[in-house]
Amino acid sequence: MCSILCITQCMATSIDLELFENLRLELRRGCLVAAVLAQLRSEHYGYTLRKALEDQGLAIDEGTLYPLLRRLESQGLLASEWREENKRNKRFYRLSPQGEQVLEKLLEEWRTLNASLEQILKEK
Amino acid sequence: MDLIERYLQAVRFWLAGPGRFWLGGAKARLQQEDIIAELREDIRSRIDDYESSLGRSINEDELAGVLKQVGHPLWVAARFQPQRSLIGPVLFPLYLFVLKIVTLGYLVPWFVVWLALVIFVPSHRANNPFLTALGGWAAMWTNIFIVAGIITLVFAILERVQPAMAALQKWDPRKLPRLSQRKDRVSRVESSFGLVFSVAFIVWWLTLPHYAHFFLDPTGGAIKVNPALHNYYLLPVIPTFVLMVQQCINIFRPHWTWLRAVFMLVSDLLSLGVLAAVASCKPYLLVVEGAKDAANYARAVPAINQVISLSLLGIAIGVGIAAIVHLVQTVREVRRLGRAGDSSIMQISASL
Repeated sequence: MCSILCITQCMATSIDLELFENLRLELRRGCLVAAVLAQLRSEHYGYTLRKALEDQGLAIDEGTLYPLLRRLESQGLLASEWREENKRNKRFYRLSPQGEQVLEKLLEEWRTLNASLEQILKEK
Repeated sequence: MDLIERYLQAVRFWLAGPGRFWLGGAKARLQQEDIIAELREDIRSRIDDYESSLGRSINEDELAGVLKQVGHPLWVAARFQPQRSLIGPVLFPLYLFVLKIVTLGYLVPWFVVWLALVIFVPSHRANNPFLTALGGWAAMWTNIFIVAGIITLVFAILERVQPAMAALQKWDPRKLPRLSQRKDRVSRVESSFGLVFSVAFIVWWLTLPHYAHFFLDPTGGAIKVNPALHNYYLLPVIPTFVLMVQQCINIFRPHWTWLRAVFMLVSDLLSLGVLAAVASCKPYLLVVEGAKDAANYARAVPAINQVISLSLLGIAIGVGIAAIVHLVQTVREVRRLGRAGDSSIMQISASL
């Protein structure tokens, strides 16, 4: 009986964890774009960008970062160039003028959302 | 470092995808090489970091660990591909709906006919019943897969052509179906009329022997009912009696909708059993030897028996379909009862 209860409890916990993980990823998805754009106000190549984000508490795996960088570049929000550094070719990214404008709007939206959420939480 | 190049080769393979021999021009190939170069640089930077933390070069096992951290080549390549689907989210619910309807529309009649053939046609299960059944089921699955394949293909084409999108733009809310209202009670009028008809049927059936001779008298006693059928004479009353019980209860407890579904299912299954028992008593009509015109009737009786046999098969198919419908209704009612039970338990716990 105890083992049945334990299995049921474990299954419920794993479902809860999975649900939380999905919600967390959804929440992060939008923030990541703004974070990457903001970080690229100064020039970075992929690896240093990932490290910089990680150092500031926003870990992102390369499987997510590189496709995101390519998408943002194809949308005209980033500019990139291959350049040699320490005898190795690296692709450096930076925010484009269009990206700067979009980032400003995104940050404004983010602040509004954050303020609204804070307000809602305060009311409770 | 050979391991890195092997890894990148695998990623390149999956980036190109199965269509690499005829799809994608020079631009696509350049893009692939660009991704690979960037990935190579990322892996090397990781290794540099790792080696500087260790204060030495990494060995092959450690390199394999780094590559495992980057991810399986298929997974890494997939992240660079645009999201692709055979049938998109707009058409998918419609696709699922059509698939269900067509599959059920094929599966249910097929199952009922197969069951009826197995029960009522001895020749169908003649020598090897298991192989007969297995062969029949194999044919059914083949047909289902073909039908499902064709539907999938049609929807995949629709997804590419997208005429449905134009249809979705032109719609009128007034043409939406009316609100479906689930009956939460069995009408007393329905139960009362049902009870009257059930009683009428039982009375008619029980008095049948008193006037059955009217049907066979014109033959001058040359045809008689198979005496083996007399054993089953009272059996058809049982399913009707089950329905009578349900109708009586539902007159006083109209909210017990589950009762009707369950009793109708039981009645259907009993009816199928009765039909199977009756069908096994062949021939249904016999020619009385030595009777007047017995030779003439002997030629007609096999045809009549055949008609009776086919009629029983038809009735069994009808009852079989009804049984499946009532089974679905029973499952729904049981689930509804379960949900109601859960909510009442929650209400009780909340009040405590």
